[in-house]
Amino acid sequence: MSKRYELTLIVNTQAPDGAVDDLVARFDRLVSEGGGRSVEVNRLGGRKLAYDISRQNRGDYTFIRFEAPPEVLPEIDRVLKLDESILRHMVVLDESPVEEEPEEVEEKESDDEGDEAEDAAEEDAEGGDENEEEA
Amino acid sequence: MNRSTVKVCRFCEDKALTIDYKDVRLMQRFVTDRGKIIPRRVSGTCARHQRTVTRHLKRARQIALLPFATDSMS
Repeated sequence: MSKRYELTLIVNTQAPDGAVDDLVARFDRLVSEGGGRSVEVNRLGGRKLAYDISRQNRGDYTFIRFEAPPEVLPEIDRVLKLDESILRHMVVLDESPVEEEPEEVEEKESDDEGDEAEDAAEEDAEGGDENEEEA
Repeated sequence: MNRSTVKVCRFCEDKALTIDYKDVRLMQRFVTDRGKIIPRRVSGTCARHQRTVTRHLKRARQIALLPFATDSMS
C-alpha cells in the first residue's frame, strides 16, 4: 500500500553541474525498485539558508513528490544520508489534496463495503434530523 | 472591550489558503523577527490552524527555510 510523500533535498551549491539531476534520477530508480513512483519534481534552485549547514550558507532546493510503500523510507533515508553533496533531506507525508486519480484515495481509505456503509450512515443521519424536526 | 480589533483566523476566512512549509512568505507571517512562533492570541489563528501552522513552521526550520533563532530576520 503506497502512501504519498514529499522529499526536500538541499544540495551543496559547490556540487558539480548536473549533480541534482543525477540525484533525482537515482532517487527515481530507488523509489521504482521499492514499488513506488515519483510524481512531480519541483526545482526551486539556489537559495540562502536561514542558518549554516555544514559551513554552507547557500543551498540548492529540490522538492520531489512521490508515492511509495512506507517500507522503503528507511532505505531512502540511508541512501540520502550517504551522499556528501546533500546538505540535508526531509521526507514528510504529502497532505495536499489529490488532483488526479481520485480512485486511489478511495482504495486507501476503505474498500467498497466500507464506502457503502458510510453512505448508508449519512443517509440515516439525515433521516434522523428530519424526524427530530417533525417531533 | 477590545484593545485591538477582533482577529479572525485567516485560514478559516480563506479556505483556499493552504498552509505549506515551502511557502516562506506565508510562514514568515507567523514568526517574530527573531524567528519565534507568534502565539495565536496575537495572530488570531484558531486552535486547529495554529497546530497546522506550527507543524509546518517546524518543518521549514528543519530545511533551513526559516531560522530556529536569530538576532533579526532578513
